[in-house]
Amino acid sequence: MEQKHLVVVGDGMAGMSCVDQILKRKPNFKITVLSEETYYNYNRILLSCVLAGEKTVDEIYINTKAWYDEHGIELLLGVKAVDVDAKNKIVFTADNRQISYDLLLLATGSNPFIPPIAGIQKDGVVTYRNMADTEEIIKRCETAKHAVVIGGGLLGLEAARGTSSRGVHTTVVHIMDRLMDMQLDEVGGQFLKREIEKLGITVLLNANTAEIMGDSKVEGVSFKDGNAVKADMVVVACGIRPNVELGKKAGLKINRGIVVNDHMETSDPSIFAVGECVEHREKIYGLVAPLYDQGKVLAATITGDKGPVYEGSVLATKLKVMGIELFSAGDFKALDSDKEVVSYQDHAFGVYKKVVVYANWVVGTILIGDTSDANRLLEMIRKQEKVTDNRQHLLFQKPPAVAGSPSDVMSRPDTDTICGCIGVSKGQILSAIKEQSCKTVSQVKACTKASSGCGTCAGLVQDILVAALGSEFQEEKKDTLCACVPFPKEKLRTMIQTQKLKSVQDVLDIYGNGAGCSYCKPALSFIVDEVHCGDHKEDRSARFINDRVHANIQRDGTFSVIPRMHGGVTSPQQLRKIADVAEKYNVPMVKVTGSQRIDLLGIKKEDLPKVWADLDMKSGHAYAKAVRMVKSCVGTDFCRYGTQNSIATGIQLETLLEGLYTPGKVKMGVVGCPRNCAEATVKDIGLVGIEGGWQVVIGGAAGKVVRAADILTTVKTTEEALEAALLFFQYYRENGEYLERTYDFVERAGLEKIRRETILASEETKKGLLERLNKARAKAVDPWKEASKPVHPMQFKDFVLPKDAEALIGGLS
Amino acid sequence: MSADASMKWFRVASTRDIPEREGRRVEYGPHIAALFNLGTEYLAVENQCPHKSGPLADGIVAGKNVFCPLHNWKINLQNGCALSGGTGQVKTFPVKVSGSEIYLAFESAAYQACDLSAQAQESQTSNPVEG
Repeated sequence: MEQKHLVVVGDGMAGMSCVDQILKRKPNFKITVLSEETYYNYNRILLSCVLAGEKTVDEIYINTKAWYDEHGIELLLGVKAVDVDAKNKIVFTADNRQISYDLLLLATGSNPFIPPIAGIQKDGVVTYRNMADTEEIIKRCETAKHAVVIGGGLLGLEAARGTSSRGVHTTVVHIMDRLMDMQLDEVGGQFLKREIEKLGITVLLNANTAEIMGDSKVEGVSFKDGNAVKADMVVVACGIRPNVELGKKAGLKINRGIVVNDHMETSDPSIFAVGECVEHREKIYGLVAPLYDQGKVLAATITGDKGPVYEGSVLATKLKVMGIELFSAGDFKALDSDKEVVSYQDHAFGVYKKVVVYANWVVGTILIGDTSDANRLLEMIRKQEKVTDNRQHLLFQKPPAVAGSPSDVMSRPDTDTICGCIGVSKGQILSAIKEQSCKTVSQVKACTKASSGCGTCAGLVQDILVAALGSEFQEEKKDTLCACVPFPKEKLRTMIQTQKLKSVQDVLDIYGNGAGCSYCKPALSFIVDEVHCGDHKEDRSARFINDRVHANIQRDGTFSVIPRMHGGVTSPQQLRKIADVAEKYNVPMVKVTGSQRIDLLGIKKEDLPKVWADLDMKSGHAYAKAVRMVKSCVGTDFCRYGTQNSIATGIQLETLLEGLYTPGKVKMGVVGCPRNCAEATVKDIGLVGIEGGWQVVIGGAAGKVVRAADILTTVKTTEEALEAALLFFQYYRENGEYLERTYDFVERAGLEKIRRETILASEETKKGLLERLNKARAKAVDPWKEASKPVHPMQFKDFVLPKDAEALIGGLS
Repeated sequence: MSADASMKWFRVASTRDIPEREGRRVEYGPHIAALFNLGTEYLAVENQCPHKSGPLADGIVAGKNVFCPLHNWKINLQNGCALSGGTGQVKTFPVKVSGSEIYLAFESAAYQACDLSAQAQESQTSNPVEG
């Protein structure tokens, strides 16, 4: 068969997914893709994650250059198609190319709708639709103080969440009486408004924008009722319109979108269209799942297979705002009297569930606060299943027969869709597990693309893996905190923050199995403390024994006591006190540690408060995931080689950071010259004195792992060196995973990224890091003060009964 | 635990003496127990881990289990059996609460039957813990 030239206009999700489907059919096509944008095909749904800082641009590419090369696709980035000569089959581009085609696929997507508001052309008004918009908003967030988002729909709320999480005070203005009015009923709108407001975002409803105020730059937004709000950035998110320009020029039949039939054919036999620019049976779809379905049918049609037809899709929407779960599908309004509504509302928990039933079928649903049943309900809508048999479990699934066993996904048929975005069935996932030996969620994702869209089906994929593999199932590395609290660590931090969960038990009760384990309880203790900058509810039972009694447990159940000696400097008075304590409590071993400290070993728990009181020194935190110590060399004070005052700087660094808890222990060193006598280059944070300045080094280790530290920066003054050390310290506190030492953290995060987000970050970002550090420091108290004020009066108590203790015999009621 | 009419009950502590989800060491003659407040009930086992005699009273309580503070063995407080780390068990002590007082029958300590399938299941899912 002769080779045909397929020209695709648009490099978006619908177009490339369709091309992917076409390739699977191995036709003899030469494919050329034109894209107005300058990025490779990326996942547009995840732009909100990029905006909110939860993902980087690199993380949302679907196909990179390698994919285009591998399939011999000619990709023309930054080339805009401006005209089509349908008669002679030629596409004209803005840079004056003429590209002939045999088959033309229009995947031109949509354009943001810009309402005719006075002043909308002013500097500071941005749209939110593509990668360039997203980067523009991120850039403006660095200096903006007040953002107004016009439009309270899906995109508007995601934009608002993004600007708000970047520290910009954000107001959402919406012309309707409720947020997401296309997807929610009145009650749902109220629930969502509360959740959005909890994120610190102001919501104005029934707000009809009159004018964007300001001279040339945006200064505010005024409304028709006379009110106004201040703003230095305005994001327009008033919906989208199909981009039909090229379709018009090609002379295609256009209504609101490019009209296609069930085979995805347009009115021209050589031209096809897919995605948001398309109108099918008078409906326009703006969400990804239907577009993928269209792509599959189009791939069949264009390769000559007239079997598959597209008959429309159920509309379903998921809001991707971290900390808010929202799902809406089908006919959720139930305006007709013959539709029944089954609903549940829990205002305190922010949970709203509504299912609309018509003649025993589920036809629509709204879920807010708990969307775990979204897939199940969507499947019921799609398949028009009767609900007679399981009606009592419509809103709440029957609990599994065995506690802790996976959800009921295994009892559902293999044809059920698991990943709604990509359209992957349970059977396809099972066969990937069986035939391609997938053992983790990301392996299944690589094999089937399941969970590569919005990602919310990852839990179901995991359930299938667990059920299919049993003990062979492999937990995703470092993905979730722990089996007890099965949420990704980053997400969990956000949830703890936005839900204001202040105690470990609250987190375990709400997001976990209620019990926890010896890993997640201390981990959560650290997280609730760090996230709330010390303003948490301390629960000692969730701490490891060392952190309950502020000493290090030894193999015989006794404890070791190491007082703090800043910079490793002590005095005759301190040494005398230590000697007295050692004698008074018969301390079996007094030892000088590798950290320039003195260790009193073999102390009984009950004696700890007395020992601390007698020592009258601060805790050295040698038992905790915390700031351990700063080791120093003698430096310019005494050493003939010294170039910097390492003792004073070491003491200063230790005093600045003492008492703070960290993901893993933090050992530090300050040396006065590159001879490195106090081994600063194998410490978590080190300052190395050089002629005329300091090197600040991070991520060193000389323990289980030996790793030479990386140079974070070289600076001239001691103040600059200390600031760089503090910036990295707080950055590690906020981004390190529990038990992750800096030597792993630096490699995982990447030195360049760490530099970019600490020493090279904007003044605003640096200020934020230091402010949060100071807030935590202000809350930090010397734990050995608990000698006189224990958290619990019996914290250090053993209960020893006298030999002649009397017993009650038998009948004790 | 059968209600044995000859059991000797010793008052060991008040209910408020032990914080919720924590344990305390309780000693009477040769008997050393770890007594736990689980919020809904009090349970006691021998205070030495079957592995290397670690003080279970100082462990982290998770549901009805405690993790030994030395090497993270997981011991079920209802039957004293090791669920992860290795195999082994400790005796349990009968505990009763009367009013605000906790009583322990030191001399009635006994081994309970272990559920082997629970152990097998647990051994798949234990988490790493760094010292």
